[in-house]
Amino acid sequence: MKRFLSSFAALCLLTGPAPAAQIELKAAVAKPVLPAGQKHLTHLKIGLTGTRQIQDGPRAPMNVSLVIDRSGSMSGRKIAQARAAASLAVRSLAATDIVSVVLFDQNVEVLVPATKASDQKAICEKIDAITVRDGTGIFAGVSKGAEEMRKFLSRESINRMILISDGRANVGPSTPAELGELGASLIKESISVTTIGLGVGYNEDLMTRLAEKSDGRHAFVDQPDQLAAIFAEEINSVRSVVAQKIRIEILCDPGVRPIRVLGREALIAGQKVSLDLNQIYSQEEKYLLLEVEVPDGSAGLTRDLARVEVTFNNLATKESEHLQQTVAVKFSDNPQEVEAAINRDVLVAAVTQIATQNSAEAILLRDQGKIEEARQVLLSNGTYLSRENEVLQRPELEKLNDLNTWDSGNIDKNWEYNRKIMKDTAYSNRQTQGSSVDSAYRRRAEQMKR
Amino acid sequence: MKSSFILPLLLLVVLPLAGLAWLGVRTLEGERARVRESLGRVMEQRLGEMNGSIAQAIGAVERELIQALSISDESTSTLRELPRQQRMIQQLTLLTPDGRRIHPPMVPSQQSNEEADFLLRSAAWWQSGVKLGTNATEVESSPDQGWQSWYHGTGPRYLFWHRLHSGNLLAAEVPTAALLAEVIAKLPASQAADTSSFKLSDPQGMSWYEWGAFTGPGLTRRGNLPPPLGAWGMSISIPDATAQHEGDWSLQLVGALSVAAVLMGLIAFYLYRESAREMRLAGQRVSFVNQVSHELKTPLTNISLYAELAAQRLPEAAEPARECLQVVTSECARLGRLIGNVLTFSKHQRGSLQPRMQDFDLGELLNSIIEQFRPALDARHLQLRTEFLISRLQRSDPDMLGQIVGNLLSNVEKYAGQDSEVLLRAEQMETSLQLLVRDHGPGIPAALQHRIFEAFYRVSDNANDGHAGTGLGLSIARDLARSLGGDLQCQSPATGPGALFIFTLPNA
Repeated sequence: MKRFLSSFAALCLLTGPAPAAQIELKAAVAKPVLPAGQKHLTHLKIGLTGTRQIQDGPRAPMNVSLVIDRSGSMSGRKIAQARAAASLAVRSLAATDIVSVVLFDQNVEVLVPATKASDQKAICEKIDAITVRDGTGIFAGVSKGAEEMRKFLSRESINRMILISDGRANVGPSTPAELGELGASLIKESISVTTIGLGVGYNEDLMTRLAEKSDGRHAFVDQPDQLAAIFAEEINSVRSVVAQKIRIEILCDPGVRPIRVLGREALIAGQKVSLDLNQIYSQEEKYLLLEVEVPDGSAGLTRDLARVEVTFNNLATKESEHLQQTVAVKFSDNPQEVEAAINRDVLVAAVTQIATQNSAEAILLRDQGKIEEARQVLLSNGTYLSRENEVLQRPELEKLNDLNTWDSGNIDKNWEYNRKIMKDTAYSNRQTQGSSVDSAYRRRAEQMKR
Repeated sequence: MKSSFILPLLLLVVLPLAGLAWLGVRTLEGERARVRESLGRVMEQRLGEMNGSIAQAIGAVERELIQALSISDESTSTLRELPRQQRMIQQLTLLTPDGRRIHPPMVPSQQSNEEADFLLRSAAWWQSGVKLGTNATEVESSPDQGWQSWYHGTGPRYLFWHRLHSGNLLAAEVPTAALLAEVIAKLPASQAADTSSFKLSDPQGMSWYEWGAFTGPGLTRRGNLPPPLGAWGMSISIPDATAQHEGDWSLQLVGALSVAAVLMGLIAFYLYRESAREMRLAGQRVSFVNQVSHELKTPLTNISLYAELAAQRLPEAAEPARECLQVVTSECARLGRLIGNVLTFSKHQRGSLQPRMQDFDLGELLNSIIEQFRPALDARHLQLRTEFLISRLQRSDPDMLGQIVGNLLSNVEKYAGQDSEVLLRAEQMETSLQLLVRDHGPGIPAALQHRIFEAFYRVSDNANDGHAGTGLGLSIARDLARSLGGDLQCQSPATGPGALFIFTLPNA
């Protein structure tokens, strides 16, 4: 998914000074050539990839808030590893970065109010003294963490809250909807929340919803000793942000009807589809997949499908920049031409999103106790993936199929654990956050061995 | 005797202690109420401070919203853009001054997916028919802006509206989570030194935010949040300082009471020892008198016996000498009665006064007693009239009966004055025997009639008024009457002056 078609540059229309672009935009349609004489449903993929970061340039300052669960269930290895991971994260910050540490149990304690990460020793000493108490007040913890970040919020800084929790919220709001609403308001302030679920006791729906709504990342960590690596990865990813406040707007041509956006919650108003992302990471693609209905056309006709516009804040230049591209389709009577033109990249994305939706449906059924129905959904999902992969022949679909097979085989066992892997994978697929798929794959492999 | 003495002593200790305890408890209660009240004021004040912070946070949100909502361009694209920029705006709706909806569009196909969701979410509010800017049900409003609320599912939702220059009303759906997160952000975080704790809860009573390090039972006070969160509650809990102080106070009270108890106990012990000594001394005196009286009885009997013998042996002509001997005999009888009284009194004091019942001739007994008194009565010119309406044989203790009558007649002799009539009447009634002694002397005032039966009491204590006596006679007579199962009473006669003593003895 991190690969681009080499041809994208030719289709790309850049406005403004070309060399400053931090983002590469690639808008493509699954079937660039459509059979003439009939209506068609096809997928439009708008991919955004951060270019490689210039290493020696001045980096955008980070504004990081570590919001740590200190409930009773965290006692022992979990809190020890959380302390170690948090200290490691603090030490990896530059002296100009901002850091705050907020602890929550039944109450909230602002352990380290937002401050420059220059005196890392003092901060780590405070972190080392964290002890556990009772209660899990995630909502209040996030509220306070955000308030600390607001003290140093700026257009140029990269604002990231890292929430780690191993339990269900039992003080304050505890539904995914409420935390999602909070996340949706935080993203408007350019604050993303990455949620790390530790162990099998946390509410993965709540944690993924909060991350999703704020364009943060999510990780399921079943072993506390993986925490340090996850924290390091997170800090690295924050460091690799190349652009912020990304707005994707797709204006469909008259007659072309936008049906739905797969995997993401975008705004669809008439002919216009738009999506806000908080950041684009270096060398990582994020995409929007839109299903459109194309009216029929006669053979030989070429028509514009949609015009794609992307605006973003370039963190290197600190300028607001603008990318634009038009996607067109051609109608043909020749099936070979239609077949040959198919964009496999877009199809893979579409298959991935559809398979992920199927998987979500299976989770829903399994939640209702309908184990067999859920298994059937997964089995037919497997059939779908195999069939598509026969044509597309892509390793990522292979992986997805493997995971799906495992899921269908394990849906009746250890649901608390398996559900978290499924949610984690689904979230990664929707957000095109590659690392979690890998870790889910690894975890599954380990489980198979056991 | 002893228990009747210990009880007052106990009361002497217990009553003041109880009084002190009562006073202490009352003071304690008063103090407790006072502390409660002042703690209540403190809690109200803290709640007020917190509400002030919340009102400030809401005020800031309102300013933020007013600024964001003050638009001149009412185009759909602007109305769709604002919710994507403003953290406190989830969706917008634009209404004409008379409440007609301009945005989101009335035609569903023109609505965005998010607008359609909003209309579903807010269906309850639209159905309520509330008109912005005109309705009194608004949470808080000025002519140009205000809050509205409704419930979606179980969660409260909030709408903040603002009047545009055009007169149209622009209302923002304020995400509850974001509004509350902002309120929570502006409230204090917990610190180890906190001595109180707060809880903010939604209209269903579910806690949203808790702060403060105090845990455990204490005093709690609840209040409501400022508008538009009037349905939300906040409570404060603080340690129950009254309980703490109460410990101190209880200790002080117990201390004071212990000291008082010890003091009272010492006083009581002192009094007990003193009175025990007194009683021992009195007992010794009584036993001394008792022994002396016993010793006196033997020679007296001999004197009386030999005086009578001498009188019998005197020749007929020695009349003056006989009269002398009669005086000796009479005075011996008097002395015998005195000694008998002293012995009876001491017996009664020792509780060993037991009647010895026997059959005897009551008339004979009465006559013999009258004979003893004859010389003394004659000397005072008192005419004794007797009326006996009795059967001869009675069963009782003749000695005691005799002593009673003797004492009554002795009284007559001393107090009935001179030259008057004395009546001694014995009558067998249906259930009892009644003995009545009535004189025509000065009598006894009604107010004193019950006191004359007290030991050592005399109507006049003046030794010079010519009446000698120990003040024991009547007391002993009544004691005897009662130990025989009867009673002795003093009354004023129905007619004329004098005293009337009635002795009733139930039939055996």
